[in-house]
Amino acid sequence: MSPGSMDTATGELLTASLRGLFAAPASADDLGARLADLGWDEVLAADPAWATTLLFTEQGRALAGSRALDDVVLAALSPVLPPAAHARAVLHPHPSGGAELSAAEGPLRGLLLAPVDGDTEVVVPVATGDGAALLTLPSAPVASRATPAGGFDPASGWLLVEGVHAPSDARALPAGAAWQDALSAGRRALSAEILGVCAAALAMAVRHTSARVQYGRPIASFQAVRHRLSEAHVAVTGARAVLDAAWQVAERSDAGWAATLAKVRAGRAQAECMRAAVQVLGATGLTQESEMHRFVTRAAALDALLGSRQQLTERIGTDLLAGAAMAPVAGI
Amino acid sequence: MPIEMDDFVAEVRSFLDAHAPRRPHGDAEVDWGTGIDRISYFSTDPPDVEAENVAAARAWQRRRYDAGLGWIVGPPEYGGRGLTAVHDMVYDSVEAEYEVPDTGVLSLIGLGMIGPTILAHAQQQIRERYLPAMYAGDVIACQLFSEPAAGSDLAAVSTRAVRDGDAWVIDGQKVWTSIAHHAQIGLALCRTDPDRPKHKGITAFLVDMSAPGVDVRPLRQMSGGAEFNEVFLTDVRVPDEHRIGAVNDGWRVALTTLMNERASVGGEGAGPAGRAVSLPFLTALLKANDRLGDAAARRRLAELYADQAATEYLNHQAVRRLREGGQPGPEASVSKLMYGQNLTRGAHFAAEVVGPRLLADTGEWGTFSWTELLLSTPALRILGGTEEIMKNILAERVLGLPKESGTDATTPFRELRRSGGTA
Ligand SMILES: Cc1cc2nc3c(=O)[nH]c(=O)nc-3n(C[C@H](O)[C@H](O)[C@H](O)COP(=O)(O)OP(=O)(O)OC[C@H]3O[C@@H](n4cnc5c(N)ncnc54)[C@H](O)[C@@H]3O)c2cc1C
Repeated sequence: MSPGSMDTATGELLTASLRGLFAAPASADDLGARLADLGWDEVLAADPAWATTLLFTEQGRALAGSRALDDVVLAALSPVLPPAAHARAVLHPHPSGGAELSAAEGPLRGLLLAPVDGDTEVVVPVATGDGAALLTLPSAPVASRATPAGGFDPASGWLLVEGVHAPSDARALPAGAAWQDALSAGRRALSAEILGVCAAALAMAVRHTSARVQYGRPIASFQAVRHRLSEAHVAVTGARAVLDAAWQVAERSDAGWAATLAKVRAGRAQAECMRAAVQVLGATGLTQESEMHRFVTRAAALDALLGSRQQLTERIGTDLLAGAAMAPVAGI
Repeated sequence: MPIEMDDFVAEVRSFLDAHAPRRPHGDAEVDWGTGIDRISYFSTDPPDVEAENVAAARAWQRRRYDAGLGWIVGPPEYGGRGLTAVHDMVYDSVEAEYEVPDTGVLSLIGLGMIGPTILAHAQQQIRERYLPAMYAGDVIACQLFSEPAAGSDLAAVSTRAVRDGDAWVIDGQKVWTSIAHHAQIGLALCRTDPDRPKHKGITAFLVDMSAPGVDVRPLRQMSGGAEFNEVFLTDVRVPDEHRIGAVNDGWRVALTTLMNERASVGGEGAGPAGRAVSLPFLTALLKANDRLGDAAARRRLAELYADQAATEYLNHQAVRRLREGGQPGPEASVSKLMYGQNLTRGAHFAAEVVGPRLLADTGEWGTFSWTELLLSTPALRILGGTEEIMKNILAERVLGLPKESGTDATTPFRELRRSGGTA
């Protein structure tokens, strides 16, 4: 995506700053502070599509973790949330259930991007008879039920939360359409992050196969190898186009449909891209010394957030068969 | 002295009844939620558990050997039973009804690949010294072929062997050597004449893994297992009698090993990874996830089953030919390709059924263990010759397509373009 209101030089400068920022190891909270130092809020306000896509692409490329997804979701929820008195985090839907929400009565479950403590308020989207609503909980009851997600990608730093009971005086604010907007915004951000991981894996595969010589020539000169990498590029480019289109309709009523499609395509692209990249690295790519496995596990973990490609594909299929009128994304 | 099949089956049953418990129930049922939640292709056990498993494998192989069942098709002068491939297959199918230790650490490489190579190419006294010891479970063998700059292009090995009196001195580095940390011997391909074209200047040696100068360092796989290693060889002295085959004729020796490897990998059905393509297990998985009524899942289950059945039939034919003393041909590449694809598809199907729960180690039975398998299936498309190389072999040697252009088969090894193995 090219910077819209940003001129090219500023765009390049910001890209370089972000890469530098993500290249230095840091905790999720440090990254937030460093982004603030960079004046990221202004960049975001100037061109949300470009800025969000860049931020998440670079985060994916660097395999970094931050609370940036919380910020994206909270921004979309801001019309219905009271002004924040303290730092806020989001308890995202538990990946087992796709984007399904816990019932407001509890017990509540979900996923935290990073540990919460102190004054931090945890915003928990929940399901009520009248649609989605938002609970705001103190950090302690959530933190006490949080365990590291571990699993496929222990490096993500995510935590799973199960069995939280909201204090009896907690009041669920009706979220109206804001939760759907938040989901769409989150899915666009995650799509960009997944594609950033893909770009890094593909770049690594291109470097490796161009340098590695077998049978007297770089293995990248074998068609079987080139074709795999070209196919991966096609998958990634296709997904990126759908993501761009999803941004263009972000303010329209079909934003949700477009964002879901973007996430599905990004999920499929990562599966294809990782399969190709691992294969062309040969045994080297299967070792823990190689970075490749970190791309594989991170991309798969991101695919599972806010609805995996399988869950969302099923959702789209079910909706289509139920007669949903899907606005053509290409109509823009 | 072929014996009647009925007598043989009775003998096998009485041996197994005496030494192993029967499996609690047939293959048709799966006890979902009980037992070991492990389906990885490679061991991801901690070292002490792995050592116990190796000891159990050796002990069980010793039992079989003492009962005359350790090497059913092998020649009697080297500790074999001298029976047919059919006897061997019958043994395997009867043994499958019993709970016995997994002997893969011995059989996949040592007995499946290196043993046949020693039998075909080694001198008499080496066969006598090693074959009975291998099939009795005393000696584990590994395959010291791949190097950092010689993977698919195996004939580009550069580990040097230089003659010194009645011995050879070996220097170089091998990599991806499975089970080297358990092995007593390794079959190494070495460069003995760099002035000849690459295939024509290689010699094979049997290396004593405890000899001075042999240094084994583990490499960790992304699935968590540490079954392969780097092996550094520094001034390792190997007596000339440990040379396998003629000087500079090592490529022919290697081909015997590689053909057996493809048949061995393609024919590997058992082990925990077999679950990924086993109908009862996948059915139980669908049931536990409430997906039995899902038409798309049912269709994919049936497709997986059909793929698996086709591979098994093909293997039966190949194994029979092989055990009857035939050399496995390029068609072994077909089963290897199919096996790798089946396991990959099976693992992906299961991953879809389990869904994103796979990503978190919640301790729920039958979910997280799939991640190990998912992370280890890519290896099956690489080890023993990559999928691309298998397809090239089929294209050139079976379909008769022209070779890809290149001159490196005729150029002296010394002048070839090579690279390091970095990523
Ligand atoms: C789990 C595991 C266990 C192993 N155990 C052993 C062992 O015990 N002993 C041992 O000696 N080795 C072992 N190997 C090594 C294995 O044999 C090599 O990994 C394999 O031959 C591929 O070599 P490479 O990894 O160097 O990949 P490369 O040869 O570098 O290949 C990289 C990519 O290029 C492609 N490519 C290369 N050449 C061509 C071509 N001509 N046409 C089209 N595509 C091409 C490959 O298909 C692959 O996708 C093991 C490997 C694994 C993964």
